[in-house]
Amino acid sequence: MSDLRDSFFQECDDLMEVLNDGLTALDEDDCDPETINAMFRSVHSIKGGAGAFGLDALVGFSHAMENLLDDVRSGAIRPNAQVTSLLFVASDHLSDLIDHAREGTTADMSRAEAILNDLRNLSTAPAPTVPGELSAEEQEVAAAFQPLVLDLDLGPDLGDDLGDDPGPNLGTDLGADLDSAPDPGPGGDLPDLGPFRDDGGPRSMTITFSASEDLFRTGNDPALLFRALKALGELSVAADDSQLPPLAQLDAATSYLTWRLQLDPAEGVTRDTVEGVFEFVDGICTYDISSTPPVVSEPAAAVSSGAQPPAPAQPAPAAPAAAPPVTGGRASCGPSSSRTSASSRSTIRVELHKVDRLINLVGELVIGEAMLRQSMSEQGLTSHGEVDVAMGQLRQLSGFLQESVMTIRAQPVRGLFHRISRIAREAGREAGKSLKLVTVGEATELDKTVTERLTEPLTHMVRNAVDHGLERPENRIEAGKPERGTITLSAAHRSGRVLITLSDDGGGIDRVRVRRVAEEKGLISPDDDLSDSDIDNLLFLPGFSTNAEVSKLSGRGVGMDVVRSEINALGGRVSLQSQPGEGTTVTISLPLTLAVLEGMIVTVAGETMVVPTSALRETFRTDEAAIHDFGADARVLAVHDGYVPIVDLGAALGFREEPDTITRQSLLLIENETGERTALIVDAIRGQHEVVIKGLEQNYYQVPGIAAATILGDGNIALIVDTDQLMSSQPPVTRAVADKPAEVPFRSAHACPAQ
Amino acid sequence: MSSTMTEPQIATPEHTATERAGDDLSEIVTFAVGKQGFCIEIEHVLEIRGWTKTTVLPHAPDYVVGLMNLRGTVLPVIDLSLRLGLGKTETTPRHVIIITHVQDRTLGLLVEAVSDILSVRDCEMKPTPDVASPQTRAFIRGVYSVAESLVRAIDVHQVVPKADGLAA
Repeated sequence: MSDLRDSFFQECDDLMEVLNDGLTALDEDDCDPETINAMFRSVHSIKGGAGAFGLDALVGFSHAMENLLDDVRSGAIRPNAQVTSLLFVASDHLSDLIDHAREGTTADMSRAEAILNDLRNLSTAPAPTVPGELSAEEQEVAAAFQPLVLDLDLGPDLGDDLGDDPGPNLGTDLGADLDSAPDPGPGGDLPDLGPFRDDGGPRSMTITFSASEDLFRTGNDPALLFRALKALGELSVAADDSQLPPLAQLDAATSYLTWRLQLDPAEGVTRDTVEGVFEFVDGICTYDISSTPPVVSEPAAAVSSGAQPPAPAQPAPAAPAAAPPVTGGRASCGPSSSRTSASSRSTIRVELHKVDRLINLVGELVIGEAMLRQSMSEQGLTSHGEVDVAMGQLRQLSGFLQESVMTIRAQPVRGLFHRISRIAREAGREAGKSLKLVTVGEATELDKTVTERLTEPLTHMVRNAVDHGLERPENRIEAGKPERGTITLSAAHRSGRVLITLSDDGGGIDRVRVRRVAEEKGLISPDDDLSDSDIDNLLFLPGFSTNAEVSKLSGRGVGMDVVRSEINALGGRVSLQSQPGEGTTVTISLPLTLAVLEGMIVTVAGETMVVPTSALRETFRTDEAAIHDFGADARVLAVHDGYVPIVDLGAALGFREEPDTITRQSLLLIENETGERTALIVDAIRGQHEVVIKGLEQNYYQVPGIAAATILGDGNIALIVDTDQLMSSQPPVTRAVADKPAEVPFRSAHACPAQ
Repeated sequence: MSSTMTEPQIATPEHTATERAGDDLSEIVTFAVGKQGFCIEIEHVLEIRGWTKTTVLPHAPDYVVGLMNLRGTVLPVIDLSLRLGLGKTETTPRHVIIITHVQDRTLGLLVEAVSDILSVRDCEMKPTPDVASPQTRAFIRGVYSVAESLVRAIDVHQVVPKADGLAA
């Protein structure tokens, strides 16, 4: 049961994504009927699943939302800005309800009531018989559904809508006598066919139906389908239990039953209408509808049921697609179009650790291949043509394999962007600012772990943009800008990294104010000469906040430095550009994956080490660089804009004593995110390589100054230097900005982060 | 971790089978460190490898020789002789690394040579004699007499490097 629950909630995530996609499209005035249909189906599926798990709050809310979407779909309501924004609010709340249901906590019902009222006011659906009680007991839910049942008789189009929606047919009058019908009882033979008309009217239909396990897993119930059919005319149901194994061999999760239904359709009910009933279970059941002339109905039914043995594993679409509609004139949502969208995204869920294991193994394969190649060249075997060709193939294949395996972990940033746009909406509401969040490059793929860990920094960033970036509406109008602010969130691949940018069209950074605050807080001294970008970067200092009032959104003074440290931890970099009056752009540059790192291979004191290139700025040869002694035992390197301390990497890691003289060695100029720089002495630079990261904590402990290990092509282990840690363990570094007093608030802010 | 840990508590599924078949028999791997005989329970041993060059770990205790690559897994190698207070091992290609799995960690134990795999009864284990030096005693669960020679049973849980023992 908990497995089913889990998969329901996982599916909810997917469905919410579809819903959000649709809302975003709707917000951009894209009123494609299929978009609205997809949204409607998502909400409907959530409702169906929630019903199966008895999540009443979820059922009630999604039902109200479904009603509104149904009106939009039928054209009764134009999807204007008001509707869209209400739907956004509702979908946010729906996602909250799902989260609450997942964690088993109770949602804030007062908020739900307000949204529900709004939904009902907009929706054209007749007021529920028990108003305001949608989220309560199941009977009331059923009662609320009743109006739709009444709609049935109004015309073919409405009947059609009903067909798409088996849930509402829980009408009390119809349900009562059908309750026992779908029970897997000893039904057996097909009973006599219902009465038929000989006036050439609607023809009797025989429907063979068998459900796959997925049908039950997704919270659907054949009984509901049959009730929906019952609403379309005279229906008789017979269960065929011939496939039922003896009790001992019975697998509770497998569906063994086939139902034969005989439908004598009511006036105006077409084959399409009947197919519509099955729309939501398409692909997870097998059904066959054969229209039979009333007179020969019995033999035809026999043929039909014989030709369609229960085959739950086989998807159904072929049968209904082959049979053309008896009559045309369906509403905007054709079943064929919905079918294609349902089958286009075929995915499987795999546990992450299985993928990680595969990635590890492929990493080993690549290393093994490199070892083989190296030892073969040592043996002088590579000159052999055939061996060479085979080795080349192996190398290419293992390269492809590694690439493909890496993409398994990669996921589009869409889900993340949806979460952020929701946060932007909420932040805008709280701050009383009207805004629009535009997302670009949602399909850009990024390592799952990276995506997950981006949520928090992006949340900070988007809140900052809303709170500090965008001006108040009146100020915007004054500045000649549209009242509604625009925040753009984009993702793109750029030279082996992923760039995520968040830009607003707000007022830009008020540098005078930033500088004043930084001086007040003692982060800089009044006579420091700072460039514009230096001032912008003050925002990344811990404990910095320019907002005079601490607002609910941001302004706890931990925002941007948390962003920077989080991004650092992911091997990325943050930068900030601002144009007064035009807005601010924050750019995050991230590695594609956490499993591989681009590094400079160096040797120090006989050991091979890797320095991540993300921290590397420049390399120098010691005999050409301008090195000055500084005090008793320190040296500094002159670079174009100042002096940076020199640290011997071997000595810093305890491999050797600090060398007295520096001769014929290399210097790596490294920089951390706060702009502090250090020059590392290494004995030799061997080249730049992509290395697979192997954590040390699994079998050992974290080692100061070492980020991880990697295995080189020759099978030896090389340690990856943690440049940030290495620098922070060195004596305070002279910096152009914030050298003297900055250290004190820096430390204290680290000791006690956000309350 | 208790040094008086008895077999059933650390029994792996495979080991439970041997127990059912042979009462309280357990298998030990015996090896030599600094010319003395030692042993550990076989269920901790994953495999035995020849000595390979290790990568030096900065800020590590002296008995951590370095890191080795076992088919892609990076694991620390411990100089058992130094850990037991018997002096630093001067490694040669004839030295052996016993790959062990203890407390969810995989680590290598550098020893002189592996001698044998023996079946012993738990009741044959005798308490550690008082004469041994305190440093050695801390790592010994007890002793077995095997063919007139003394085999010291190592408590593998004690030889694992401890986090607090590392230089910060």
